[in-house]
Parts: sequence; structure tokens; C-alpha cells
Amino acid sequence: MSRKITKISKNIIFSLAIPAVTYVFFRVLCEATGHPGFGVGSDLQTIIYTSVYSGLIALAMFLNLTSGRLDFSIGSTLVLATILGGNIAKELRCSGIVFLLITLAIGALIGLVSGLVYVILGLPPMVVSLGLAMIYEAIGFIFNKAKGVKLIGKSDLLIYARAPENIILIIIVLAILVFLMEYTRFGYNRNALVSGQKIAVDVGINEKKNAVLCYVLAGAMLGIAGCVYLSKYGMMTPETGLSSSSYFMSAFLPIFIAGAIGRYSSAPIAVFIGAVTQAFLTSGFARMGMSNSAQAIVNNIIVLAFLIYSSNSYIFLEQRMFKEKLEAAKAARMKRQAK
Amino acid sequence: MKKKLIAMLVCIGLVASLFAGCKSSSDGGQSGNTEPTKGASQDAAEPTDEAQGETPAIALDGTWPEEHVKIAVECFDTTDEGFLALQSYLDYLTDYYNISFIYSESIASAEDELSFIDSSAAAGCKALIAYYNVTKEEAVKACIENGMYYWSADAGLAEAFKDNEYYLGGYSFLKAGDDSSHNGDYLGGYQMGYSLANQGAKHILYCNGGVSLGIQMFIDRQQGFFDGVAAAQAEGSTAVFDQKADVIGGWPGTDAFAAAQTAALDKDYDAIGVSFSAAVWFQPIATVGKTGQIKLATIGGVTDTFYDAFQTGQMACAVYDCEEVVFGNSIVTILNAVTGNIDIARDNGVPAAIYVNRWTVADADSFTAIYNYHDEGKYFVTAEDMTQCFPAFNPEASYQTVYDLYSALDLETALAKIK
Repeated sequence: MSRKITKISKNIIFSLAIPAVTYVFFRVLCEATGHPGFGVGSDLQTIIYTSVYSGLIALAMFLNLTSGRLDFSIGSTLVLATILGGNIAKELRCSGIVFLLITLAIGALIGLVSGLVYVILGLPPMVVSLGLAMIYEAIGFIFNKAKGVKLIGKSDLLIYARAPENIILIIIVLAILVFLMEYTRFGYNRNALVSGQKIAVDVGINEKKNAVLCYVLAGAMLGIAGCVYLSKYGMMTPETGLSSSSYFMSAFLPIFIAGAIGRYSSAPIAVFIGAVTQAFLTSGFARMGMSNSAQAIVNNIIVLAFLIYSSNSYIFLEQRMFKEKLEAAKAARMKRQAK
Repeated sequence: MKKKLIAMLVCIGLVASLFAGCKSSSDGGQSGNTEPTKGASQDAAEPTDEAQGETPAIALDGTWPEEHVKIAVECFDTTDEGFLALQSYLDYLTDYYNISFIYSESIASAEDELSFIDSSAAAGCKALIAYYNVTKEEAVKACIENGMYYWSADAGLAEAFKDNEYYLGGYSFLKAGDDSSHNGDYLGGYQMGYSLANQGAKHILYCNGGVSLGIQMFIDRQQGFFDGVAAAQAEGSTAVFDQKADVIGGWPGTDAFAAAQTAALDKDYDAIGVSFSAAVWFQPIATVGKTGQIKLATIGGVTDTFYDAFQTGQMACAVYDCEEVVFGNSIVTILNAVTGNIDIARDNGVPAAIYVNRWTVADADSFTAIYNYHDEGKYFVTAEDMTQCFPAFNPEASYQTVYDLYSALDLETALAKIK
């Protein structure tokens, strides 16, 4: 029992270490450099908003990326679901919750189309998603005469950019995802496919069905992310010429952080912790008045550092394993010599 | 049997398509017969004495110019409201003139631009309207190589191509003789900054968009904004503005912008100048409960995005490039060039620089009046107004006619026209 408690405590500490250190670092730095206000008041609201918004995009990307499917249509799915969902909600004059459900459903539907096209065509996911991104962008552009969606001032709909609504939202989303990943056949199958696709398929797992479900879930996440975005800015314009691909750039750091702390927590929670860390970084930089280009440089260095760590973390594991084996061999030899 | 039937139907279809271009002899042999009658050719070549010196009555029904003119339009963002408004105006003109347009996708690179020019030339375009230009001189050279006229807003290119008749020039925000090297973006930024500081703002923030990415348009606007605020301060404005501390960059959709925006809204700013659409500030301002406390200024169109904001007093100023005034003169210039009236298209052999007014709309009444006028499908320069610039309709037409038509339309004249 105590071993289990120790393990859980260790997992919590290691999972929260990176965001905690980042928060403390920026809090001290901002105070020391005469830039108060980091992580409190409205800045905390922005950190929560950024964590939820980027976290949802990162979760959508994570669902497919870990199975080797880099989805270029993430941004266009988000934009299209938001434009369609927002305009429908505006026409129907519905509540914030119905608005969320409509956008979520449209996102999931777009995800279903993406998944079906991927499994039916059997082309590399990057090729398929590039083509679909262009189609989704074009639909978003044609719809509503290229005006996108404008809900400025509709406070009854735009409730997901502020706490506690966005906190409740992300808790529900994470709870559903953790349940799906850890306690359902879909989750087991997905994990098996991520670990070893060929073996998983050989033992009878339906890879195509699993892939389609991943796309549907990702689409739903993007629909929710669109609601959060719309709640913040009140409007969204269509994207063309693959410019929607910029939307998923903020998803990489959370995913790489999740790669580093993934063994201490469930994958969706790890991704969200990564998004929180990223939100601390951007908010800290903004408080200190760092320019966008300088922020981009630092952010990408951090992404690179996590990528290097994630790609080489097996070396530490190997070294520990070799050390344990060496010690065991030495102990065995000592034992033999003693005899 | 089935295959034979299909083959027969395909053959019938092919044969029918061969005769599709032919018309019956009752149409006077205009299309089928390539040898016109003697009488008809004389009628066309030798006008009667009565007709000489008089303007032929040409209907404004989309049949002039005689030869269809295709025009390519290059833009940086197909979703930009200003571009959509221009597109709407150009589409309106297609009902009256024998013209059509090919619009680019959002041009993101030099490669995109040059490829668009080549493909437009291949599609038969006679001219290019450069609503955007990435490669500067290279784009003009590509047009010249393809035998296309080039109309541009970039005054900096005029010197390099002043002797080439394919380079038509464009509009200018400076009157002839004005001593300034500043371009339209600088002047737009200047008007924004001057207007905000002059309207009693106490603490101003500037949202500079893509300055840190090195995008020239934003750099020029920022410099103009700085100078505009400084000019207003020199005239007695007490507005506080620090060129480093009171500036934020980037666009919505990035975490960095969201963080910077929140940090800015925490401070005591009561005026914000935005180098792109100010609409991205409406909801965040409302969320922090500062609606009505912060005035916004922007470079943007008179569109429904800003309609409510003007009514509620959120908008202090919109620097507006009226599409039919600022860009509409491109059609006059291009049609004169392609119909052989290059002397009207260019100013005494040098590229055109038609002075146009940029309207600084600073009150809700003016905004509403312009908005409603456009909403009713009316334009400040109509297709009929434009006919005075074409010798086919007005034998007295000259470069000065074009210049006078467009340069006269300032905000006051436009508002008077509405009344």
C-alpha cells in the first residue's frame, strides 16, 4: 500500500515539476526585473485560456501524431468547425452549451470525413491531410461569403474564454479522454498500435477502425478549441492557401513535454501539463516585454531541447539497465568467489 | 450492342460539337462567314460625314470594349475585407464593361506571385492589378515579358519603369508636387496616430502586427503612427505614448498575442491604434469590462465589422481606402491602355500617379452614411461616371479627366454626394 502511495506521489511530483519550476522561475524573474503581475489576476486568466486552447489543439494532434499520422488539416478543421458551428449557433440563437455541442459535433463530423478518406484512399496521412486542409479551407472561405463568423458582443454564447467555465470544460474533456485511453478497448487498441503497429494488427486489432475513431476524437477536440477561441476574440476569419497550418504550431511543445513526462501520468494529462508550461512561458515573456521574434527563438530552442531529450531518453534507461546488470554480475561473481 | 450504341452517341456528340460554333446564314454571316460583304466593310471603315466628329452612341451594357478584356488581380489575403470590397466593386463593373477578372489566391511568396503572373498571361489576361507585390521589380518584369500591363500602388517602382509603356503607374496619396517620400502605408499609420492623439487620448497603445517579422507594410505603418502621434503632441496633445513600452506585436491565434493583449488591457490605455483589423480587440475589451473606455483606430474598410463599434463609440477612427476611388481608377487606366489610348493611361508618357484621398472616418454618422450607401449597391464612382474617361464615350477624355474625377473625391465630397 505504502509502495503504491509512494509511486503515486512520485508520479504527481514528476508530472508537475516542469510547470511548477517554470512558474516559479518566471514569477521570480518578473518580480526581479520590475514586471509584476505574472501569474495573478487577469494574467492568470490568460494563462488558463492559453492552456485550454493550446491544450485542446495539442490533444487533437497527439491522438494521431503518436500513431505516425501527422495531420496537416488540424487548423482547417478548427476553422471550418468554428465558422459553421458559430454561424449555426448565431442563427438558432442558442445557449453557450448548445453552441459548444454543435461545434463539437461538426468538428467530429469533419474528423470522421478525414478518417474515412485516410483509410479508404490508403495514401500517406500527410498527403491526405494536405489535400483535405485545402478543401476545408475552401469550404470555410465560400461559406458566408468569406466573412467567417462574428459573434462579437454575444456574451451568452462566448463563455469559454474565462474561468471557471474553461476550467470545467477542460476537466470534463480530460476525464473523458483519460477514460477512453485507459479504460476502454479503443484505448488499449490504440496504445497497442502506438507501441507496435504490425504486432497489434497481427493479433487482430482493427487498425482502420481505430484510426477513424482517433480522427473523430481529434475533430471534436478542435471543435471545442474553436469555441474557446471564438469566446476570446468573438470572430474568426477563413484561412486560405494552407495558412491554417499555423494553428498547430503551438501544439508541438506540449506534445514534446508530454513525451518527457508521459511515464508519470496519463497521456492526455501529460499533454495538458505541457500546454500549461507553454502558457507560463509565453505569459512570462509577454510580461517582460520580449518581442515576438525573440519569443519564437526561445520557444523553438525549448522545443528542440525537449525533442532531443525525448528522442534520447532511452539512453538513460539503457545506462541504468546496464548499471543494474553490471552490479548484479559483480554481486554474482563475488558470491561465486566467496564459495 | 450496348457499346455500339454508346459509341454512336459519342460520335453524334462530337459531330454536333463541330458545328456548335456555326450560326445560320440569317445572322448576316458574322461568325460563320469569314468574308464580310463589301457594303458592310465600307460601313465599318468609312463613317459618314454626319457621324464624323460626333461620339458614337455606345451602350454601357457590357459590350464595350469590343474585344473582351481579362484582368488579373493579385492580393495578399483573399479574406481581407478591403479586398472583398474591391472584388465586389469589380464584379459590379463587369455588368457594364466587357471585362472579367482572375483573382489570385493569397500570395505568400515570390514563387506564388510569379507563377500567378505567368498563369494569368496564359489565361489571356491583358493587365495585372497589383493589390499586393512581393517581388517588386521582378513582378513588373514578368508582366512586361508576358505583354501584360501592370497597374500598381507602389510608387517606388515608377522610376525604374517610367519609359516602359506596360508599366501604367497607379494611384498616389500625394498630390503632384508634394515633397514626400512616404508611401500609403506610412500615411495611413500617420493618420491613425494623429487622429487618436488629437481626439483627447491620454495613454495610447499601438498594435503593430508583423513588424517583428520584417513585413514592410507594417514597418511603414508603425513609423507613420509614431510620427502622427508626435505631430499631434507637438500641436499640444497631452497623449502619452512610448515607442517601446506602448507597442505590442503579432496576431490573434498565437499564445504570445493573447498574453500580450491581456497584459496591455491590464494597463490604463484609453486608445489603441491597430495596424490590421481592430475587430480582434472588441471582444477582449468587452471581456475585461472596458467597453466604451478604450477608443480604437484602424486601417480598414467601412464594413459591418465596425458598424456596431462606431455606433457604440468604441471606434475613434477608421482610415479607409474607398475601393472605387483608390483602386477603381485602375480599370480606367487599363481599359484606356488596351484600347489604344495609352496617352490617357499615362501622364505625358510617364506612369500615372493619380492623386486619391484616403478618408479618415472619425464619427459614427459619416461611417453610417458611407456604409448605407454601399449597402444599397451604390458607388461613389459609378460605371457611368467612368465613361467620361474613355474617348469612345467622350472624345475630350484625357489623363487630366481621369485625374480630376478621382482626386476630387474626398470624404466631404463623398458625404455631400450621399445627401
